[in-house]
Amino acid sequence: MLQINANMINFSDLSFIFRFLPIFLIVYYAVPYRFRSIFLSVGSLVFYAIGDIRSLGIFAAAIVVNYLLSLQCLSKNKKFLYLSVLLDAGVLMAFKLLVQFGRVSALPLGISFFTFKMISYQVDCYKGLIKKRPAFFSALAYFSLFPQVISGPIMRYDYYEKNEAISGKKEMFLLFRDRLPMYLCRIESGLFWFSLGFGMKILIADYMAMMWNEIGTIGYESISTPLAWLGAVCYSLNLYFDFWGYSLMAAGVGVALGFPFVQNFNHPYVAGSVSDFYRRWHMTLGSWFKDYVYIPFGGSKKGTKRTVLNLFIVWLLTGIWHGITPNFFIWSGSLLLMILAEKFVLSKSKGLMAVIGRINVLVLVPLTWVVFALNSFTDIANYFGRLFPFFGVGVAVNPGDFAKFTDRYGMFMIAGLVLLVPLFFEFVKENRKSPVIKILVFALFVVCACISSTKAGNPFLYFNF
Amino acid sequence: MKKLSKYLLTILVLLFYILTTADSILGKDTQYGEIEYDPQAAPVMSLTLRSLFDGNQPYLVALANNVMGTGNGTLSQNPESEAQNEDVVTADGSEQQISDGSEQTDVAEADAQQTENAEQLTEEQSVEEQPSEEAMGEQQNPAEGENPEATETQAEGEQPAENQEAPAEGEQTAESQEAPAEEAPVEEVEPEPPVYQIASVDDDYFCDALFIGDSRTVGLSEYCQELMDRSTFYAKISLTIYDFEKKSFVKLEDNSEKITIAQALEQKKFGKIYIMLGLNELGGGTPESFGEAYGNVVNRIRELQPDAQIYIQGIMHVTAAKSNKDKVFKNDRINERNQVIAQLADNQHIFYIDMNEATDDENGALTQDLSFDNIHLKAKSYALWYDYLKNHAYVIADNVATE
Repeated sequence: MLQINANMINFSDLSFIFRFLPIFLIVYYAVPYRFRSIFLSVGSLVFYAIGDIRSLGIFAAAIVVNYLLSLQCLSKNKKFLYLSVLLDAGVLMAFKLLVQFGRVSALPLGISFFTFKMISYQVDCYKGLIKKRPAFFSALAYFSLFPQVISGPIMRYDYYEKNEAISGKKEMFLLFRDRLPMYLCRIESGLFWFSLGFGMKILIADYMAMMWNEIGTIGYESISTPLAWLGAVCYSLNLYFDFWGYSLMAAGVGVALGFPFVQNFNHPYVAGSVSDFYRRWHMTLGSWFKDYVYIPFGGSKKGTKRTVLNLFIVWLLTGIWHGITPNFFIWSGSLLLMILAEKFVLSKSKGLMAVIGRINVLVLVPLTWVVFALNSFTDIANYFGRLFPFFGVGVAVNPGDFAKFTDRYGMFMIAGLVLLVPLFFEFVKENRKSPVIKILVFALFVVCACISSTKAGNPFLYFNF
Repeated sequence: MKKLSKYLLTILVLLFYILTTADSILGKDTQYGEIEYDPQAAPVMSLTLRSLFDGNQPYLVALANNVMGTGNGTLSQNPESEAQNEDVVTADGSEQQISDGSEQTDVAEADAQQTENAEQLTEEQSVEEQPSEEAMGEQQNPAEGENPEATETQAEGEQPAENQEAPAEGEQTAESQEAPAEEAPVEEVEPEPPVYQIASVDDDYFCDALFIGDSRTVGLSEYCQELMDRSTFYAKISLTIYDFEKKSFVKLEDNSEKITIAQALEQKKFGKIYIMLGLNELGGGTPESFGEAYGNVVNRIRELQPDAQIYIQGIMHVTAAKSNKDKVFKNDRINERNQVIAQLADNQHIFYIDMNEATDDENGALTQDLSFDNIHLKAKSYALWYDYLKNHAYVIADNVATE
């Protein structure tokens, strides 16, 4: 029995880039467009099975049940809308609790993302945003879409319908040799985005992850104050480039398949306020909460009290979505407070807002990420005790640790910090058709492929003992 | 031309794919022969990429260099592989291996079964293995009598050949000498050698101490203030027993060039030399081959520093969580190796101590609370190790009275 390595679903793994993806693309473009949604469905389910065979049943069941319920929603049956939303949210919540209490070892792959897709699908059916009943395979392909199943981006059904390779809009009457340039164009674009994401993941995120792990190894009670602050930066960079990198890789694969490009991050760290930050960070999630929670509840149009309540609900749900341990509520609660303060207090003074807003983004947000990162109160207390050493000097602290870490990881951290400035990324993006840029991007790709070849799925490879 | 530029990235990636795959397939049995490769885990091109990562020329490039008469004239980046293939005849070691003259320690005879086991182990290695494999490659050099630069950067995975070789070396001691690591004792008429016993010592005992080790010892050098103030450390992440004569990383002064531990020991004298190595070697070789290499190192230290006490420290355990999940880093494998190196002790100049007593839980694994990553102690837990060292020093019996 051929044992397929689960790492094949990891976008930065060579077995995905040079095995799954090429084979998929070749078959995808070889078959007539009418069969592509079926092939996409099948391929995505295979992808899912490779990654998490044990949850395939749950995933398939969720898809089928949602499709059936959506038929009722299309008929504007409100009860069924409530039922399906409750069911989807309930399944997600149930699994989170099961994991929390140790009954299940891990969440089913992508459950946080596909349940949200399903909820949006039901609502869109009910509201008439989806007018005609989609074919089962179209819905199946949409829910299981392999470039998005692991960690998003969370797209709506209309995005799926925009795929010209599937609708066949442009290629219906063309010969293969005339369609080929179209396909190559998509693949060319896709490779561009993919390579950028690949670079972020391999050259920045993975090293920051190693660094964060080393800091944990020392023990949060034993890091020097400078290192504690460096660590907050390190984790923030790790999270950002890991997620942004993944999102670009996912978008790249999507583009190669004929989907439009999806933006999930828009340089969040140049935001002028926390509110703005979260309009630039994980944009598809923010937009989901806006369209399916905030606005249906009234948004900011029903008076101040109601606005506050609506924001509270959104951030409560955001916290839960990320995790159900207490630290996630502290995390989202702090963000809510900052957002409320910005909205109702700071907004009164433009000057104050400009300064404090930036401080919020550049100083407070990384601190909230530390809370996000640490599950136990002891760890949080220890870490903050080192960040703000007013109550003690820590235990067994090595004053040379800051120098050691900047030595080892400084280069990667600087790369990350530089990329926070939109200029560089935007320049490359605007000049993506230039041969020089393409060659540079290719060089990046090669370097990352070489590094990735040594990892064999273990992100902490370099963590030699 | 415009068309070319339009699809430039795609074309380049395609070419890259084709060329590296071809290079890997063609070089699979020669240049990349020793790289451990699992077809299910990665596409074949990873052979070339991994080799590139280590700084080697791809097979085809080296081939081209040869054909054109440029380059260093050796076809394979791996002269060792040919030499070692000659030396290694069969697993039951009927060949005579040129050894570097180091004396044999009391090592059990390796046999074909062990070689198979070792090879099996290497297949199961986790990726954390990389450094030790690299080190393995370097170990072969004395036996071959050559030490070209290229081998330092060899891609990992010389394992299979290496495993055949190492036990073969062990086999040379078929006569199973009881060779002690230094001068033969036991002439009753001579003045009796001093008797050592365990005692507790104070911090200054470590003023002339040297600590050799891997990243765990590095941790000790960063988080144990008493030792930082008094002792010397020649410790480095991923250090293995095979690096003793090979890896140049020791700096005697801030500005001096890097030298190996062996070279450093020619220049600086110590009263006590503590060694903790072995974790990074877990993925390769056998306990016996490890023990033999360790014995060679100990002998070398005895030659260089006849008056120093050598403390062989048993390899620190990993946590139960790690030991249960990992295929390589398991406590019973650590214990196997500790048993082998413990036999090197003679209680005259070479002593064996095992600090695991101070940090183990009731099941003989590193206590979970003391570690975050299951392998290293947290900063504040190094005190336990230091305490153990202070309470398990070997001093000459009549000196104990003065403690």
